[in-house]
Amino acid sequence: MSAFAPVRLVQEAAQLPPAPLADAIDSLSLAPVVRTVVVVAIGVPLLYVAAKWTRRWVAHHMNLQAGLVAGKLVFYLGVTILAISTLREMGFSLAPLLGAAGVLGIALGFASQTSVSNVISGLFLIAERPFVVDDLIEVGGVLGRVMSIDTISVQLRTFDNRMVRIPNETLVKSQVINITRFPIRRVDVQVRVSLREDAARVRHLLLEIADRNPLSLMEPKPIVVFERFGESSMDFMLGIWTVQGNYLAIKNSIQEEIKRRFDAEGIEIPFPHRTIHVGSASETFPVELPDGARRGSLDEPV
Amino acid sequence: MATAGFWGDLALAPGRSETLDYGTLRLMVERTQREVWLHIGRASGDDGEGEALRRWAIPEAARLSVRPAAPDRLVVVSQEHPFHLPSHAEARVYVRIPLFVRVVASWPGSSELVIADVPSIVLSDTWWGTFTEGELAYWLTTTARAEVSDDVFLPHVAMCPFRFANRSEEALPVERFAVRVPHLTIFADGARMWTDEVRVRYAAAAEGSEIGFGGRPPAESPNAERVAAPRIPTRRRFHARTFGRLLGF
Repeated sequence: MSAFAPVRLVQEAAQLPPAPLADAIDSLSLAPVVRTVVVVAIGVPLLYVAAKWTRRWVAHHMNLQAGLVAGKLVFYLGVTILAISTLREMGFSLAPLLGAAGVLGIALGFASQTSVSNVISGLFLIAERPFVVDDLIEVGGVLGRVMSIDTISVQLRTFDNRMVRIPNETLVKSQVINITRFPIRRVDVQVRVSLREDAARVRHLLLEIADRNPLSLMEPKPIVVFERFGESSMDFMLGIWTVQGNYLAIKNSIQEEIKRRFDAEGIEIPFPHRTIHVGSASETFPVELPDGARRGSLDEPV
Repeated sequence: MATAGFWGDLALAPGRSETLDYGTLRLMVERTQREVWLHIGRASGDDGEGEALRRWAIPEAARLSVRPAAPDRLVVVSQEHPFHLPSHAEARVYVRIPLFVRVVASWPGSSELVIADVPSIVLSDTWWGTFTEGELAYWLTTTARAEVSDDVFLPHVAMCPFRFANRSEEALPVERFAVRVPHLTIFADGARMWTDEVRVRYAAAAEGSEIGFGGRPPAESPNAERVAAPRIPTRRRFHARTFGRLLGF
């Protein structure tokens, strides 16, 4: 019996009607695998193209930030649909999976509170738009240009070329300073002069320096504020308005010009000094020389 | 030896150069076989960008010309002696606008190429708008004159006739006003440079004043020849903020 079995099997197969290739693959249970591979092979590149196209279209018609978010939404939605399709092709029933997902969801919910909070915070950031991509912002002492606003976090590039990732939740809770939101900006320069100088002359000179600087705007006009009498100086603040792009250039050039003009005009920029009086405001500090010590002169080498 | 205020074709043989003066601008154009070198300098005391060199590789057959152009941003005119315009009254004043100097190269089979576009006089920058939005502008302090005479014309300065009409119920203080010069057409009547007339109708409206451009030579020089089209072609009329100033800390 066993010796003739293969022969009979071949004979039975020869008597079968010719089957199409798909049926043959089906009969070997390869069809779901092939279909899954086809779905993934076509679906994934399509998904990338769709996300990229959406990002470009939305960025062109709205703004770059909205484009980034829309692209990601399309991508993640597509991934979800693709995953469900693949599972179905593989013959998995989604009903028990969804049931399990409910239980798993509770567990994941507890585990991913922070992530969910970041996602929701991200939505608030997108709706409120306190900053957009390319803005210069300061958060918790970190100053940098916004590279991207993602679902979970915002990425900054600092001036020394480091990447800083800030979770969206932190941004919602923190004070964010947007430095480049408005097109013009005031550059404040602190200036100290000796107490013996004429304050009105100093004010006049500072305004003249500001007026002559080609990067300074005529309006809003520059201002000079006499802030206080310091311990060794009169403290002024010179505020000059300029367009955002000129901030650093004017900050450098104006201080160089102040130094040059003050030197030329004989206006003293003081160093901290202190006069010590003992007992009386008019008498000098008594110095007692030890026995044998010789009274010297400042001109003699020590 | 520099030539002052020259407009027109610049016939320069290879190896030759020409120095041209316009206001505070000193422009030296140097031609070689296949290149043109532009030395852009400023008279001392002017807050310009200093000496600059621009070098262009152009065909040997290229022709060069020097042409006037309106400034590339709007000009905020600050009057030395502001005036008030009564309700429902009109006034016509003249403002002198320093022109830009354009060096243009052209050769057969090609459109014109602007190889330099520089101001004859460097004006200070100012801001026109609010603290949160607006535009960068040039600042021009002038006595907006009610009459013109021949001695106020200069080859690098265009006279811009400005007609104000106050349609509001209150007197209009004309202390600062914006001239949207990129929309102006430049005309030449011999050595006298003009722009088309600008008409401003103020009605205290939220959208600003109604601004109109004549588009043709002013009545003072009806036969003046058009030498430069507007930088920004525009409708004959539109609304924009024309009066006011930016106050604040």
